[in-house]
Amino acid sequence: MTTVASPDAPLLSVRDLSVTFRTPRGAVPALDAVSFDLARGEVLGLIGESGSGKSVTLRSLLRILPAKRTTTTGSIRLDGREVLDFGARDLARHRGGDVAMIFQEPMLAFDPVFTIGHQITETVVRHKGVSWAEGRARALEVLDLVRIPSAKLRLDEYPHRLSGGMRQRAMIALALSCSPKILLADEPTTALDATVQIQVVLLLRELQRELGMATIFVTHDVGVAAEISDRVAVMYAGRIVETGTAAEVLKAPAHPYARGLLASTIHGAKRGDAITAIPGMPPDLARLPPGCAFAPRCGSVGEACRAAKPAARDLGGGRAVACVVGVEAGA
Amino acid sequence: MTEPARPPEAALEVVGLAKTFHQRSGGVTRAVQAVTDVSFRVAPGRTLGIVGESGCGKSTTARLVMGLIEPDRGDILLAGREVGRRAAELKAFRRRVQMVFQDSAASLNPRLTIEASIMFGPMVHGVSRAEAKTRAHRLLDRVGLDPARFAGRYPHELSGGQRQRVNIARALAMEPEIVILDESVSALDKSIEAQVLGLLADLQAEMGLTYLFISHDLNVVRWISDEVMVMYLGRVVEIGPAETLFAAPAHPYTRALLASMPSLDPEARTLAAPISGDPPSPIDPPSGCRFHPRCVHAAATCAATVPEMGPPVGEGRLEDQHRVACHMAAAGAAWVGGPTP
Repeated sequence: MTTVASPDAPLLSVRDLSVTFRTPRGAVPALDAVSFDLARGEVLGLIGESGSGKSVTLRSLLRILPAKRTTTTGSIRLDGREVLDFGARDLARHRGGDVAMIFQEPMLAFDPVFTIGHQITETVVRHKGVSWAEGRARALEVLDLVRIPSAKLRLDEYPHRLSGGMRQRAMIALALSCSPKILLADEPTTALDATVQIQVVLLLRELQRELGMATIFVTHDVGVAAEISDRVAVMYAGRIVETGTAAEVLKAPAHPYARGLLASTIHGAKRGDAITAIPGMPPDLARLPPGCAFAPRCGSVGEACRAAKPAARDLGGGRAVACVVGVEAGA
Repeated sequence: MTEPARPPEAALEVVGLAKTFHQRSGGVTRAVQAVTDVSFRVAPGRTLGIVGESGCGKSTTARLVMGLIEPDRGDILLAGREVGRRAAELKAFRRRVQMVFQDSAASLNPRLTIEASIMFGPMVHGVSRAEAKTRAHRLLDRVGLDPARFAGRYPHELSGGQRQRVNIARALAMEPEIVILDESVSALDKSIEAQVLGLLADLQAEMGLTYLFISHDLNVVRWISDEVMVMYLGRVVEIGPAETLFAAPAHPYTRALLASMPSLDPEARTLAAPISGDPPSPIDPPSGCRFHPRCVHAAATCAATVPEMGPPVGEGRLEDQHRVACHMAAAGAAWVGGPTP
């Protein structure tokens, strides 16, 4: 380790991160100049619709996008070190060690032919260089940590033997086994039933607090984001269009897209209540309009919107909005 | 909306529907009681929302009503008349009941243009090609897809939201009385979901359609439904007018389900999970009330006898069609008539 960042510097600092995929249809810009900071122990909720760049952001932080077909520019600094410059050795420690990820579908995170205990133990042994027995002790510890009942027996179970909620807990245990600095969560509760979803969300919230672990939580569900996030970033067509505290953004969104997203999220509406939908549909990333990507669907669009991409305007207190129209927060 | 008098004839009535699947593995046959004793009625032009978690039997109920699988027991009455088992009767029945599935791509033939997909059903039922085409174009236009641009396209050239509009147009081309919507908007992005829900509500008002709306999203169900039915492990645990059920749920399971909904307010977060564990499997379901092992209010009688559907008994409850299958709610438990915890 060469650089030691000062304790009040953000744990993670992303600047102008752009990701372009080379496809048979041409270059597709999946992320366009994304910048954000993540403080120690903070939960950042990334919300947006399919194709907005939420998952690509997580995958580029973990450096797991296919190198051959991806061009990544910008900067990702974790604890003062540039992640985009990492070589094979650094990456092996980075992935699953400093930064761990949980997914929507736990059956894809686990190998079906090894027991839960074996897989967690192996991860700990590889990253921490401890003995198998020590690794297994840690595996038991993390299964207890995620409140899996009779954890000792569960160590020797195969993934398919667990129920959906238990499997999700086991995957969280696997991610936490090497005490990551950052947990990346990609829609981890989306496939779960309502009564199980709230259990997993509350578990993640408790663990995050207990362990002081910074978390980026990707979801399309505004309700889940409200339950877990300290701060929220709203993405649209590969750009962050609004950031702020969860209460600010979700209660008084400023960007026209964020407002539209909140308005089209049905919550507590009764039969016959009017619902507001955003007209049109999300843009094709390969054929983005010049200027603001939301302009074709926006109700308050002006000349300037079609001329140039709006830069993020700082509204103070960590609140920023990428919109040229004179939006007032919560107006 | 005021509650009109109970209509003499339901568009759809289901009485005592039951289906058990037999699962064979390792030489052992196990019975999966997917649906047990399900009864409900839906008035013409209204929406019954069906909610519940994995394994509760909501999709099996839809498939039984649709005639895709045979029930072990029970009757399905369409406009007061029982549906026969003969081929001609089933064919007529299938025209009158249509379904829109969750996976918009898998439910369209990839080799047919969307126009051909919409024309296919009516033509099987004796509509001329010219008339079927006119109907397809009119419906495409009605669901918001310009026929001049979209009629000749293939499903893969459309977005998920557009494909689901095609599936709705295809269902309506059969001029059905009842449309079963099984998680039809669940895979769509929120901004598109709101558009499609608005379309469904408009179409219902225009054509007097009766909807069975199945969804795991309780907010959406509340918005679209006149009545809501809650299922747990193959049984109906509660049914009633949507607003009564959401404002004063009577079954402990319904109360837990509603309390599990995220708050959408970062300053009023959910503090504790209402129930622990996963919904159990419908193989060998618990005796008596199937929810009793997870219910905080369970008494000895709950494990012993299956509770009958009946009006909840309590102070604040309304005199309406609200019915619950709970021994405690029938005995006037303290929570009856009160809001979700």
